Amino acid sequence: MIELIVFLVLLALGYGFGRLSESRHYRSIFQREQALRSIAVVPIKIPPPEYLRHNSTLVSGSVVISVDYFKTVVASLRNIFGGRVGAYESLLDRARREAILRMQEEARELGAETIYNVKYETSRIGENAAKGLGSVEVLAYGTALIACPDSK
Amino acid sequence: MLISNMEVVPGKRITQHLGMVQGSTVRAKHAGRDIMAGFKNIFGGELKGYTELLSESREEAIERLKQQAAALGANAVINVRFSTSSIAAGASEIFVYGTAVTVEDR
Amino acid sequence: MSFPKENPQLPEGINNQHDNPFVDFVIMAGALLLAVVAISFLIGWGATRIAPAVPFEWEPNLSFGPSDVSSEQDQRIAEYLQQLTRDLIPHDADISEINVHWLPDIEAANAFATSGGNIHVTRGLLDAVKSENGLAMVLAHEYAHIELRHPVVLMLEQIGHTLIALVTGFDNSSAGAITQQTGFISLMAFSRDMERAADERAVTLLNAYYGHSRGSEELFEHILQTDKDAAHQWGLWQSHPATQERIEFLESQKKGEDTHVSLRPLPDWLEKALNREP
Repeated sequence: MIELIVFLVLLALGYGFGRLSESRHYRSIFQREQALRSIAVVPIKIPPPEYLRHNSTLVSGSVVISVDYFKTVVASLRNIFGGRVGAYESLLDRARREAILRMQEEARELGAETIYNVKYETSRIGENAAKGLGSVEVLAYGTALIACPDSK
Repeated sequence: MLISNMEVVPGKRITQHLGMVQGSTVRAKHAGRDIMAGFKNIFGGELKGYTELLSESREEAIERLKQQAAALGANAVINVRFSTSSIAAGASEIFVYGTAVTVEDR
Repeated sequence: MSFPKENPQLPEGINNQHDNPFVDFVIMAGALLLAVVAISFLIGWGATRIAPAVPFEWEPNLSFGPSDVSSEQDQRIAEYLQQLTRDLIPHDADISEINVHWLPDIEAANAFATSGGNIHVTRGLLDAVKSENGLAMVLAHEYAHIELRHPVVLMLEQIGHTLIALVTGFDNSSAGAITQQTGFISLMAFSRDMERAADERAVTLLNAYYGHSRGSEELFEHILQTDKDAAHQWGLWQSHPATQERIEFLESQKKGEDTHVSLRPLPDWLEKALNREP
């Protein structure tokens, strides 16, 4: 009986706080994406000729996002029925966009115009006993192209 | 929609780069398949159920990539890369990203 | 060839459908609960049908406590319990040999049957009953469990539930926990049904031996006196029906019986052995 109450409380807490933090995070993502739109993120390896005399340096952004209890439960139910795990998709979407944003922020501090050869790395960390998703790390990295004062 | 993992498209000319597009999906196998996989781990051999599931996931991820590219008005995605990660026990994520471009015949 | 000067504005909801996980949860949890309840019901139903077909000889012989009683007095009590049980069993019973084990060191009032035709009686139980009739009710109840093959039913149910747990709970996840809890609750529901069936059969056996079933509620009255909460302790997690409900059932079985019939007392030597005034 107590187990059930604990379970329901955790579930409610996970749902409430999870939804809250998710919507707050998305609002911040939308806002910053607009602000950083001018720093183009391109996965192409070789930049076009206009950047040939720019300086370049590696920039990266990483983020670790944790899953909430509610999502763990939904995902473990999904594991029985099979199919798309929507709960985790939003988590990864947030993590990827956040990682790109942090990379862009680093690039902006360096005065970069654009980032080329962008790549992603995803890993799962904090493998907990419940074998659910502990948390997921996304790393985005690329080469920032910075205009030299004498390049013009 | 042309999908390629090269940076150039043979026989075509890239007119416009439109930016990065991506598609991702997380899927779980149902319990029955997990058990069959458990048995297979004893005898070895291909896990047909899992192969099928992962290729379905990959198709869905590419489908999402195409949707994003189409929204930008692209007709090709080049330099496409796949990454597969197991993000939780029994659930795996397929992630695919590339550059949306418009191409025209040379 | 033109390159992007800024990031494209991509439409939302392609990689993240923004669907509410709550709906997902309710549908899946509901389906899982229904499935587990349905499967548990099938297992329980199947087990009660299959168990009587399993030959009694196949039951593993499980018993607890000292096999040879140390003191002479304990020996005498064990023989008395054995004899009383033998008297209660109908003469044409299929299960001929029941072994009654006397557990002199356990203070809790308890009696239980295990597979292979074993009945265990604790010292606390003898302290709890006032007359032979009250003791006979408990022995008859435990014998009814054996006669109705409940140890086998339980064993079959447990095998079934282990299989379900293997399918759903093998990764020790929360879904597995939900399944196991649901499975346990249905197991307990079947357990309560078995207790009711054993009570009913026990009353029949008492009527056959004494001609009435008075005194059958003694143990339950004792439980009520010692544990005030026990009366209505009824829940999905309980393995036995509420004590009050059992007393009411036993009372309802006595209607129309001669209320002047006196109860048969426990033998004097036994009362003395239990440090009580005869």
